[in-house]
Amino acid sequence: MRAARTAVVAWAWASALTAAPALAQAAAPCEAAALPGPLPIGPEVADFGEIGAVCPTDAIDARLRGAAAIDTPDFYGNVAGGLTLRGVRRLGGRWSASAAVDAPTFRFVANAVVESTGWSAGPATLGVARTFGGGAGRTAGLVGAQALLPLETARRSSARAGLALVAGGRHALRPWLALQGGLALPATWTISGGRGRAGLVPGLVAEAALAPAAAFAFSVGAALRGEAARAPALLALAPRAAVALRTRGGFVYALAAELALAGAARTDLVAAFTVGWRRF
Amino acid sequence: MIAHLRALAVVAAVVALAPGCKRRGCLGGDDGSCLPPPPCAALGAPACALPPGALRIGVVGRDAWALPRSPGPKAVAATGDFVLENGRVRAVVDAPDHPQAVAPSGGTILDLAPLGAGAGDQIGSVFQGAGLLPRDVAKYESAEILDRAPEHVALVLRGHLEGDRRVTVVTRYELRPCEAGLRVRSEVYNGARDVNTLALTDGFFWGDRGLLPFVPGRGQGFRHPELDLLELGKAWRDWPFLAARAQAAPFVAYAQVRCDARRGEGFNDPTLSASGVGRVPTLPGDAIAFERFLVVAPGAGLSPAVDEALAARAALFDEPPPARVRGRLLAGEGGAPFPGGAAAGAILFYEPAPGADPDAEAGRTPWSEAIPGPDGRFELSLPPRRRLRALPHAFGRPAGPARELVTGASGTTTDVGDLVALRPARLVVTVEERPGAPADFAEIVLVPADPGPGPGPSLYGLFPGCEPLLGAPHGGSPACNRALAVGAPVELLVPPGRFFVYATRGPFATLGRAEVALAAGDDRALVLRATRLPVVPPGVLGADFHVHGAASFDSSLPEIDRVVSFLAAGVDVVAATDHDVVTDYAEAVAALGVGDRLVVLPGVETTPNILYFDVPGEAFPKTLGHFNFWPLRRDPALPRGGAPWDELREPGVTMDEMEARWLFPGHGVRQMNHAWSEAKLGRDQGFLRAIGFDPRKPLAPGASFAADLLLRRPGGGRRNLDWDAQEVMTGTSRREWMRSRGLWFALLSQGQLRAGTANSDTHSLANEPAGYGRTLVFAEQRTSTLDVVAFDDAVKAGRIVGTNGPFLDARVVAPDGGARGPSLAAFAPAAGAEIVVTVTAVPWVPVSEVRFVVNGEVRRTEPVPLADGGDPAGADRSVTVRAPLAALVGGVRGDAWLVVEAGLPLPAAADLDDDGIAETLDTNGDGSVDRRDVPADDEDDEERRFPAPARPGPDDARFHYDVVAPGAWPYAFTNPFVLDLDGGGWKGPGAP
Repeated sequence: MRAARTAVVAWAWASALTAAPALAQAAAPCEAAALPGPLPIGPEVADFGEIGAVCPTDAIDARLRGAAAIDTPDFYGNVAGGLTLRGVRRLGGRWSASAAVDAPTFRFVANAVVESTGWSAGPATLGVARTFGGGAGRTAGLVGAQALLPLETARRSSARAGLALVAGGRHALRPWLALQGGLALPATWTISGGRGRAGLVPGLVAEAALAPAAAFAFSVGAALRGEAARAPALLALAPRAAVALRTRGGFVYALAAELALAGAARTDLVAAFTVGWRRF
Repeated sequence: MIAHLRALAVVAAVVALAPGCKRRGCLGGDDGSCLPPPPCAALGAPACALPPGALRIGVVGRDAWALPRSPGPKAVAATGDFVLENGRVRAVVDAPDHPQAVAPSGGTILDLAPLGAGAGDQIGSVFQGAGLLPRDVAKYESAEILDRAPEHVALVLRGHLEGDRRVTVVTRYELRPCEAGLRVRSEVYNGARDVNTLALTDGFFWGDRGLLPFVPGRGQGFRHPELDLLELGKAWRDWPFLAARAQAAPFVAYAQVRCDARRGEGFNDPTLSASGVGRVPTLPGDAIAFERFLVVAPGAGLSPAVDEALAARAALFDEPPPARVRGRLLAGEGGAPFPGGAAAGAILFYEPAPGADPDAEAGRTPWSEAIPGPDGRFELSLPPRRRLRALPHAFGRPAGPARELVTGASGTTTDVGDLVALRPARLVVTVEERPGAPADFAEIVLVPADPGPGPGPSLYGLFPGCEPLLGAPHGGSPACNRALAVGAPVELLVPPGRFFVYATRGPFATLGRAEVALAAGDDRALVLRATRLPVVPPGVLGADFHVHGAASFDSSLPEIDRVVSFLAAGVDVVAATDHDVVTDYAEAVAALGVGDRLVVLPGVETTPNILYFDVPGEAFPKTLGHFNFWPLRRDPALPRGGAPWDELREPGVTMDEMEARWLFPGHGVRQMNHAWSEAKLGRDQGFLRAIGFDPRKPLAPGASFAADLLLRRPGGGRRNLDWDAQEVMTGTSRREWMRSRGLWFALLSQGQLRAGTANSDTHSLANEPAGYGRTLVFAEQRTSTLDVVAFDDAVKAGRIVGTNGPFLDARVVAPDGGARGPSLAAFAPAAGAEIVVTVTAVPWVPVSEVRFVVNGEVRRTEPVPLADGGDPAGADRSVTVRAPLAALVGGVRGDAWLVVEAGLPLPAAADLDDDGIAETLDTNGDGSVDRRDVPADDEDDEERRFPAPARPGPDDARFHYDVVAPGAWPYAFTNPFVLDLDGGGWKGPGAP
């Protein structure tokens, strides 16, 4: 199974890099890009720790997301789906603020033949970010912080809050080709029964974004996540791909997916379909 | 404005974090010191005057605690376990290092019994789990005593799920003064990375023939949805409480009431119930708590526990307290009181079903069950101000008109007057050995002379097949349609009807029989004669090496009845092989004073229940077990009476572990049981079936997965194949026997010489009658002076014959007169030797042929005239058959083995699924066995592909036999004559 996945991903990489179109567009990294940064495709938790657009602008979007973990040898599986609402507002200068909330989320979890389903809402995140570079230059960057608000109805006996530091960048190699990615350091604090536990799950994303046309872009790359704990663990090495279409009026339709190839996390596939509006 | 926003933000944060910040026990995971809070606080503190010291907690074997074992066959407290008492009940929680049954550790409720005369323990075990797989069962690693007497005493167990240490489980058992049960709180913290379905429940392993689970619910009560483990959701229900009641003495009832929610959830089956919290996804870092009150109450029927459950719910949830209802059950209009307990007399109370039929089982909502006292009176609690119906039951059927009633206000008592059940007949049966001399031990069996159409009796739909149903199907005598007689007349309440009444004393005795027509209110006396006959010569002992009593998790039969049943069947030696616990029935043997005529060898049947062993091609893991071991040292102070924990290991490991447990060091018998039995809820599967053994494939390294498994030494000592004896006949199942026979033959041909035994695997009086089959051991022994080691050596050497009726004496006789019987010792037969076979049977055991089986092939069949039925009270008859050995083994290349069989002809059977085992009979009667014999709607229905023989009409020779041993097919077999034909040492004719 893993070997097959590897082959598919290798093929996708090769296809993407060899199909470089000759269309010329603006070389500036933030110039009306349909994919101005790694597309958030986290399965839940309101984009917490996601890098997102390196060139923030006023935006709102709704993202249908889904994730599946199927661990047949261990008789385990879960499927989660939901809707994330997100808004970004430029505050002036290079600052922007964002808010996101998961509402609602549906989960189906099979512990062998014991299955459960549940609807929930939350959590939510608030974020602030500052961009660097961009403009006429070829490189743009972003640093930001996000707060995870402990508003999650799926938790019965616990609450979770968090703070994430993110840094992202985008470098235009060609008018139609950019490298983008970033690092996220999401730290969480989960309190259950009066006992708190900290968690840190650093994540790294790198991808190549190709824009064959001004209104169309796709990206391929990979995400690497780990768990910084007493016994550190690689959670996932997951190739990812995204495709986005921009229309007149600033509407964006994007599809993204991530497929785990290795790591301790059981989630195999994460996919998201985003509909949004962005001020270009 | 900003200040207001700040304040708002602070409040919001506090509210948001409140669920997690509140310090609550171990919901944040087990840190080794957390303590779950006292459970079920809303129950309050019962007011009672308790003598000093009555509320106590301790460790068995320490301080003043000797072995506080409650009465009752299920009570198994061992040294190191924990005991909690409050003057009303006693609970035993096993020590963490005492795993038992499906629990990978102790920390489970092992015993829960009311204190007081007549009461006792009937609980197998109550364990905690969060799923259905073994990995989801709580594994406790430490225990902490909290002695807060006189307020309460508690025991805190700490551990985790068996399969994931990150998911911690902490359970607090708490006992308060005078309460009727244990308060329990379990807390599970999901420290794993993934969301999971953690359905935290108590698991109640009823074992099929033990306590009967009950839940109030429309169409439920004692009826439960069919439990298919692959489609668990279809059986999942919720309920206000779960209750269960015993089928046999000591009569106690149990209930589980959830304290932290109005309804519990789970599934129910006579094998297993799980009752706990709902199934919801539990996120990483989140936790679940589950509080419940586990009630035990003395008394017959369900109502003692339901009374307590309703009262507890009133305290917990501000429900109106229950109302009381009392009345009397009469035997017929204006008749005498219907004595409760007898004839399965009871009253079921339920809310009426909607629609035209208020008594429709699928629509009514049962609430409780009352069993009247000897004076016919009953009193019980029911929900207040509720329109209910009361339906009398007797003999496994509704037995009178339902009475509509409306319960009164909370706390009031409503007298519903007299309910009327059918008027039974009274039948007194005396069994004689000879005129004027009562038989010491006998069994009485009733069957209808003209069985009617429609469903037969049952216990509220459970355990059909007993007609007439004289008592609980798996209870003490009378049970099902049988009763035991111990040297005195037996008084039975019988439903009106026409019956054949039999008195039996085993297959080597005449059969007493009479036909009676009983009208309501009749009072009749019968004298039946059953005389022991000298069918079996002196020195040959009849042994049953596979039996169960109420100490087994799947039996309720009281020990005294268990022993009487062996004596009634004429069994001389028994290996007590209760599931997972060493027993010896010593108290019953002593009480009956029969130590000189019945020898009970302490033993065990290892019965793993945890599905753990992966077999290629199988979707689910298997259990590997069902091996018997005897004689063992029994030590009641040890967990499981001294038996090892037998889960998660291959048979070879268990065999190694038994070496230190033999009663006589170095001497013991290891027997593989029912090698091809079906799985039930994934367990109970025969060993060879579980591993996919194909008898057509060689037992050689690399030949198959099964061969490799059988040949390996998992513990470094014995191979998985190194059992001494193989159960060829198990109970009365012809299907089981024919398959086991084929497997035994296959192993013999491969050079794996094992003694072949015949046993009953009896679990109750009617469910596999004791002694059918049995193993006749030619050891020149007497029960009064039995040399156990020599006796067992004879078994292991194959100097035995298996039978369920016919007696078979077979010898190879040389021209010089030298003779030898069957054994696993190879010999070179003399030229001109012949085999001489004498078949003896009583007239009610039909035998029509003798078969000579050489290397698995029936080489010759000789008809014998012992199948005419004759007079069941007549004497035994014998036929001798001779055959030249050379003719039987003619054409055999190499060596051979020879088994002689006697009985009725074998039905034609075929292996249509190509696994080497016949699984299909000619079910459509067209003279051939083919795909047309397979049920189209369910190909896996073994009962229909390989059905048990139907009971013939009363004029058929087999009728009497089928009454005594339902489903059995008369059959006897010798162990092999191992013939070294080529003089070069014996080699299995099919050995690689």
